[in-house]
Order: sequence, then C-alpha cells, then structure tokens
Amino acid sequence: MSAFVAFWDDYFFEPWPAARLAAARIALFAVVLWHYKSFSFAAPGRMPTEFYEPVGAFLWFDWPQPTEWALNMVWMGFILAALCALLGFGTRKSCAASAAGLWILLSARYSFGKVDHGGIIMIFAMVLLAAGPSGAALSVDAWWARRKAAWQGNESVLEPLAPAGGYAWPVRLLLLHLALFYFFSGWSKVVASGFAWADGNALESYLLYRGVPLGVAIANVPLLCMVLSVSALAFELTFPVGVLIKRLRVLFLLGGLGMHLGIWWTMDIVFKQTMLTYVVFVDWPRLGLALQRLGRRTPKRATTLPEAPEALRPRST
Amino acid sequence: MAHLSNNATVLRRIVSGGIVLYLAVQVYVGFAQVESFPFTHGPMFANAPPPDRPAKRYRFEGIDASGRELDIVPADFNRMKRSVIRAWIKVLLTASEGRNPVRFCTGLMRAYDTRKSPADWLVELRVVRQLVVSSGSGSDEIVDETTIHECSVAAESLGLPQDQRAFQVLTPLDQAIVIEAEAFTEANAGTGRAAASRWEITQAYDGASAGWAVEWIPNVGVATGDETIGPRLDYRIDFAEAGTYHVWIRMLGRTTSDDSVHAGLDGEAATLGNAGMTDVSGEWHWEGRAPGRDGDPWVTVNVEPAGPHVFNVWMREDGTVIDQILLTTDPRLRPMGVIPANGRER
Repeated sequence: MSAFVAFWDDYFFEPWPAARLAAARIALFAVVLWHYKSFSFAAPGRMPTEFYEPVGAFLWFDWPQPTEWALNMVWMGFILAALCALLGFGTRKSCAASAAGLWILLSARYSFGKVDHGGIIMIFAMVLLAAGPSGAALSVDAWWARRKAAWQGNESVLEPLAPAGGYAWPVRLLLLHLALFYFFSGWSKVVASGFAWADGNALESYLLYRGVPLGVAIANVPLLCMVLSVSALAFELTFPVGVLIKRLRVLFLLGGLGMHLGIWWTMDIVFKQTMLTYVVFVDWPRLGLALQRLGRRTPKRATTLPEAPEALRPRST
Repeated sequence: MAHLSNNATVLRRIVSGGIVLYLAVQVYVGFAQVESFPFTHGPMFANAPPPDRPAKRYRFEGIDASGRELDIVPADFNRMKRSVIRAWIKVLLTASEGRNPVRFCTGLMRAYDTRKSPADWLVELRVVRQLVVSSGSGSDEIVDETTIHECSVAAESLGLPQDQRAFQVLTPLDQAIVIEAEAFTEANAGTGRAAASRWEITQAYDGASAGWAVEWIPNVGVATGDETIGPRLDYRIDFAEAGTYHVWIRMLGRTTSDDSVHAGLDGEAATLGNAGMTDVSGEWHWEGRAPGRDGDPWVTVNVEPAGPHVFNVWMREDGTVIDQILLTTDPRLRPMGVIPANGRER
C-alpha cells in the first residue's frame, strides 16, 4: 500500500515549480485562441430544425436549437474568457468560463448528426487548469497579489514560490485522461472486431477509401498495413500504463503525436485540437532554460580581423 | 508525508479523492459508451441498420440498382438548399411491391452539392449488397434488383462543412465488368497431373450468387503450383475501354489445399510467382491479390487494345469454388457481397 501511495504521490504530486503549470496554462490558451480565433460556430444556427438532435450542453439543459446571434455571443464570451485565462486574469473563473463556452459551442456544432471528439480534450484541459492552481505564477492574479502584499507589507507572499506538490496533478491527470482517450479507441476496436482488427484489412480499406497518395501507397503493402495496425492497437491499449512509467512517458507522448501526424498524412484526418493540447505536457520553463544554455554554448561569430597595416600586406610582384 | 503540514495533507487527500472520482467516472463512461455503441460489423457502410428515428425520405425517380446516376426530386431538398453546403447521406434501399418486408439493405454514402441548383443535384448510387428479403418460409431469398422501385435517403448523418477531399467519386459498379463464374464461354481440360480434374457447376454452396457456383472436382489433392496446367475456363469479354483492369474473384476456400486459382488474359496468367489468388477464409470472399510474389500483389490484366479479349481462370488446387469475377479500372473499388452481374449470367 505504501508503495502505491509513494507511486501515487510521485505521479500526481511531484514537486513542480508554479511556473511550469502556469506555462502549461499559457501554452494551452495560446493555441486555443490561435485555433478558435476565426472559427465559425454560427453554422448550427442556420441548420434546418428538422435535423436538430441535441447533444452535450443542449441535451443536458434541454435547450432549443441556438440562433446564430446566440452562438456568436457565446463565441465572443469564450474568446474573452480564453484571453483572460491566457493572461491569468481571474484565472480559475476564466478557465472554467472558457471550458463552459467551448462545451456549449461544440455541443451546438455536434447537434446535427455529426459528433466529433477533437475539441473535447481541450475542454477537459481547461477544467483541470481551472481546478488546479494554474494562476499561481505568470499571471495577472499573481502579479496583483504580490503588489497587494507589497502595499500591506506581507513579506511571506513576496517570496518566490518554491516547487510544490500541488502544481503537477492537473497536467498529470490530463495526461491520464488522454491515455484513457487512446485506450478506449483501442478497446472499441477490440469490442467491435476483436483482435482481427489488426490483420491490416481494416486499415488497408480505410487508406484506400480516403485515397491520399501516401495512404494508397501504404495500402498496397499488406504486410505494412498489418504491422501498422498491430502497432496502433498495441500502442492504444498500453498507453495508460506507458504514461505511468516515468521513462516511457515521453516516448508514449511522442508516439501519440506521431500517430496523429501519420493519420493526417496518410488519411487526411486531422486531430488538430488533440495535437494542440499536447502543448500542456511540455515542460516549458525547462525547455526555455535548455534553449538558453544552447544559445550560450553556440560559439561566438568570428570577429573580423582589423585590416593589416600597409607595410605588412603582401606585395604583388 | 510527515514533512507536510496538516493543511497540505488534508488538501492533498481532497485532491486525491477528486482524482479518483474523476478517473472512475472517465473509466466507467468509457466502458459504457464502447459497450453501447452501435458498431456496424463487416465491411464499411454495409449492414448499416436503419436509423431508429423516422427517416426523412426522399423519393428518387428512375432508380437503377446497377448504379447509374439518379435525379433527386428537387422539392424534397429545397429546405436544405441554403443551409447545408455539403453533407453525407446514407442511401437506404427499400423494396416492397407486395413482397415481404426488407430485412436490411444498404447503399453507399455520397456527397452532393446543395450550392448547385436543385435540378443538378445528383446522387450516385451503388448497390453494395443485394437485398435480402425474408421469404417467410424460413429461408432468405435474394431479390432480383429489378424489384427495387424506390430509394429513400435518410439524412441521418449530416456533416457540417468539412474537408472537401472527404468526398470521393466512387466508381459505380456498372463501370465494372461483373461475370458469373458459371457463365464461361469455353471450358478446357487440364493437362499433366491435372488431366483428371474438371469443372462442375454446383448449387452446393450457400451464399453463391443466385445459388450457382463453379467447383473444381474431384477433390483429391491435385495442385498445379506455379503452372497453368489446370482446367481452364474462358470468358469472352468485349472491353469498351483499353487499360489496366484489376481482377477480383469471389471465391470460397475451405482448406489450405482447396483455395487457389490462377487468372489471366488471352492465355497469359497474371498470378504466377507464388500461390496464385488464394483465400482460405472458409467464407465467400472477394480476392484481388496474388500475395507473396515479387512486386505488386494486386492482380491486374492489361487490356490493349479495347475490344474482344478472353479472360481465363485456371484452377490451381482442386476443391476450390468460385462464384463471380469482377474486372475494374478503379484501383479503389472493393467489391463486397454478391454483386448483380452485368457481364454475363448463366
């Protein structure tokens, strides 16, 4: 039991600097804003009512089909909340408001028959950042708290935050959630088709159906299709275990990203939001330090020697 | 944990409890969703069950199950005109005309462009499965395609504007040549160790097109290997177009000794190099490859010039059963199930 507790603590409560979680927040909301800044969510408001089949928030609250105006309003609120979350202004509330906004917008989008799952992981990321202390550093909130403490002469608040066990769990829980996301993709394949899914025929058919040149080329090599199918299934089913093992964690994350890129290049199916959510798992402060060190090690550019005096120049004969 | 203050310990316990709850919910929902998901087994889009909710039905005119383009009656789609740019539609075929109700039927999913005027809205229809109708006598009956007199489109899966390349033109089957195996124009005896082998048209195998198939008998373990000395069936075909045709044979291989044929054009086999076209699945199966040989495993024949040619099938192992042959210039085409023959029928 104590080993499990130690493992649990090591995974969820590893001492992290506050800046690492804050950087994850900034990275997530930066990509959220980049991705959704010009995304049109108004289309569901124009769809024929006959096709309205509410899911998500609209099913939960039994809302009628939203109008274009309402969707535009929610979108603006969502963008504003995401901007606040990026800056760390009312961090918990803005993260939660962003999650709620995106939930409503995606629910509206998926209430017409086509239910997708690309943006869902982003909503969970926002929820977990709202629940965790992601605004403890690199935020307007933290800056304001320090200013306030300085005015009040509260010295303890002015000290820099030491690495603590409360900063890792939102990211680690999201990682485990992502691992379940992959696991259930694999599990559904096993439930639907058994392990025969990995014989390569399913992948081959789909590659041919999608018709992307690289995918068609792969489809013409049945052995490769089988190898890729087996790899994908094994990878998906073992992902939850892989991310729990410290040494394998990065490998699995890179594998996940690689799988999405592979699907993109061979089938033209882009899990853009899922791929973008991977920014949360990057240790940005450490990456920044590494890049800084790399910059210092780079040899300085050779300085130009001053021109030799006339007397020392070789004379042409 | 001793170094932690009481407050921190309590907080950590609360967070841990939340994490456990969060994960438990995710795991429960994950398993429950996978369990309840209406997976459609089998080939893509085939055997799709009818939607639970009442389908919106749009009548087509002049339906032809062999796959020609159909005009949608415009009035039914007017309401969708301004709102949907592109959509997936599921085509469900229904047959009645005094017959017993359709058990299931499938068509293909196809995109249409509602930005065009209604008169230009077209749906290409390809029957990927013949209708199976309960005859009421305990056995199923394969309905001839001419009995299909109505086509319904259930706008069940309506996608928002997505990647344009998702919509591909599928080759209608009437552009493919489909021949019943038993409709050969000439049968030739085998030579050498296959001299005693011969073809027989049989009704012994369930699931064959119209009940008829061709079997190589007697099943005494004769195998011709990489030679074309087995009894040969010839099919005279008038090719409208020259080009490379992909060869598909619907075959039934019951054991590893009864499961292969060679195929070719004008007396030249296109499947030499390993084990011919092989299928040992024990079920009716469309085979388009001759695996294990050098180069491209897909079996193709080069028709040059267009016009009359003779397609050949040699038996490689006795006991092998074949039902239909399909030749297509579309490398993406994947035949499924019994396909209405448009080449030659018995």
